[in-house]
Amino acid sequence: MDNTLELEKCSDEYLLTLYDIINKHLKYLNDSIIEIADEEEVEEEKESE
Amino acid sequence: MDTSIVKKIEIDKNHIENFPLETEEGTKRAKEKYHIAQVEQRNSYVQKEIEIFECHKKNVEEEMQKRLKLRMPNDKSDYFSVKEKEVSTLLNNVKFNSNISNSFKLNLDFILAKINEETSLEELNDLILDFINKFREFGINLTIDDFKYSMFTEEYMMAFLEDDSNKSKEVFDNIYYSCPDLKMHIKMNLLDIINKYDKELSSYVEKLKSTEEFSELINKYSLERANLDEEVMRDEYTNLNSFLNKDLIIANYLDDNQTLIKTYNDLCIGGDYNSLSIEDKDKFNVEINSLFGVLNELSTYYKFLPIITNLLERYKDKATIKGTYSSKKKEYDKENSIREKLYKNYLKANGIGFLAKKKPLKIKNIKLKMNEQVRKLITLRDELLDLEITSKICELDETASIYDFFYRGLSSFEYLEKMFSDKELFSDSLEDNIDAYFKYLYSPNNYFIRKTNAFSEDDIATVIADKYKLLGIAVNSEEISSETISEKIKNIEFVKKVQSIDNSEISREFIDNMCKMNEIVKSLEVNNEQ
Repeated sequence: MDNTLELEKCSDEYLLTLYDIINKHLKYLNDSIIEIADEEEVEEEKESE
Repeated sequence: MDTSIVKKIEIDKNHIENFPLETEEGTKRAKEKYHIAQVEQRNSYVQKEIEIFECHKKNVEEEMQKRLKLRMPNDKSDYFSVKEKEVSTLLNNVKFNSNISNSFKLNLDFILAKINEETSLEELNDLILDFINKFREFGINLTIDDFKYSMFTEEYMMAFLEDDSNKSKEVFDNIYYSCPDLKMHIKMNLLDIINKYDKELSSYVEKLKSTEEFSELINKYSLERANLDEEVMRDEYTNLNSFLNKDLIIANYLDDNQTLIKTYNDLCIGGDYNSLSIEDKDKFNVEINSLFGVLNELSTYYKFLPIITNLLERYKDKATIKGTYSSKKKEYDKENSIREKLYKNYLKANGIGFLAKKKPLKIKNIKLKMNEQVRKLITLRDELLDLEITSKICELDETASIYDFFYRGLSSFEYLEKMFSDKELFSDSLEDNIDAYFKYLYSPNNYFIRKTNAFSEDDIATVIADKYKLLGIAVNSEEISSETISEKIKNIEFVKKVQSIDNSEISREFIDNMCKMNEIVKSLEVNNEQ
């Protein structure tokens, strides 16, 4: 996948839409990260149960 | 849309959503281990993608920054200020070639207008100095001989010309009780100086006059003024900046905006602008442009309406005015020569020559008489000025237009000064009011005041509304009364702004995109600062 975008040639509307899409995708990506509880915390949870 | 980035997003989503995080095989511990390992793997993929898309985002932002700089129209402020100066010079030429007095042309009247009962001693001294300096500009050096209107002005000005503020304060205090009207004596003295040097002032004004015909000058000024106003209204840099700075909101100017649609429909007979043919839309736009000029003219007409009302009232004296001005002038001149005689007698009472003997009682009497005489002259001068403007108005006949009346009003600075001093009618300063009045009379947008008979009983708002209704513009007289006109002008100005942008090198869509990019870039700058 080529990471460079040919931005110079695109229209203003395109650029703004692209920016919007990238932002939405970045939000999706950030929301996709799963927090992993460390082992100590898991143990503590088990003990309290 | 670039398919590569859309595809990449699809791949990302597909990969992330279908990433196996659980297993059915193995012990509970093994299942947990598997889950953690898969989560870590997926997170690592996501993290890598975040970096890639953050990079894309940065590139897009940099491109926006670049475009904002590159696509910014040229700043023509310098060009406009040069043009504005040229137009001001033309207006100045009009002023110097018009029918106003020399003292009005040379701004001496503004100095005199500031001398009144409320003027402080410090202000008075500054005004006298301004007056003397102005005369120096005209090539006339005023000396003590010019300030012998009364013994009081002479005494005060002797100290003043010595340039010792302490002394002039002391002299003022000394004179004040024998002449409480000293400020008005000085004002009368300055007026007397203007009369005395009338020839010199005329030849100075002559040098400043343009050699062009007056009518040509007015046409030239009107044309240049109108062209420059249009050019400024259309200017891409100014327009774009007013949206970037949020003085105007671009969303309101886009074709699908409800307020824009409503404004257009409200102004269009039939209430549906979009149903008009292209030809009718063009006609509508031309007439809106013309209505904008007329409504601005009408709005200024309302501002100066008390003057027209007052001048029309004066016209009623037409049958009886004949000869009153000249007989009042004779009376004034006679009383003025009595003042001059009183001054000479005062000099005699002070004694002339080596063996001179002062006559204190006579001096005291003459001083008292001088005070009375100057008071009389002040009253007579007011009456004379009043008769002068009435006489000038009464020279007009029944065919005179509103413009003719306004124009006669301009011939007397003192009349305008008196009218504009009524703060209930005119809130601006005298300078601003006079300037606005002058510009109004020579405005390129003088449509109806030149053509409408001053004695016509027709309601001007109704006449204007009826005319534009015939031309397809929905406007009624109630909307353009003195109370409501500003709102209507605002609506038409809005449409005119749309027209101006559409007639320029940039589109409203371009402005919209630039504003959006600007918002993004600005928020980045704010984040960077934080």
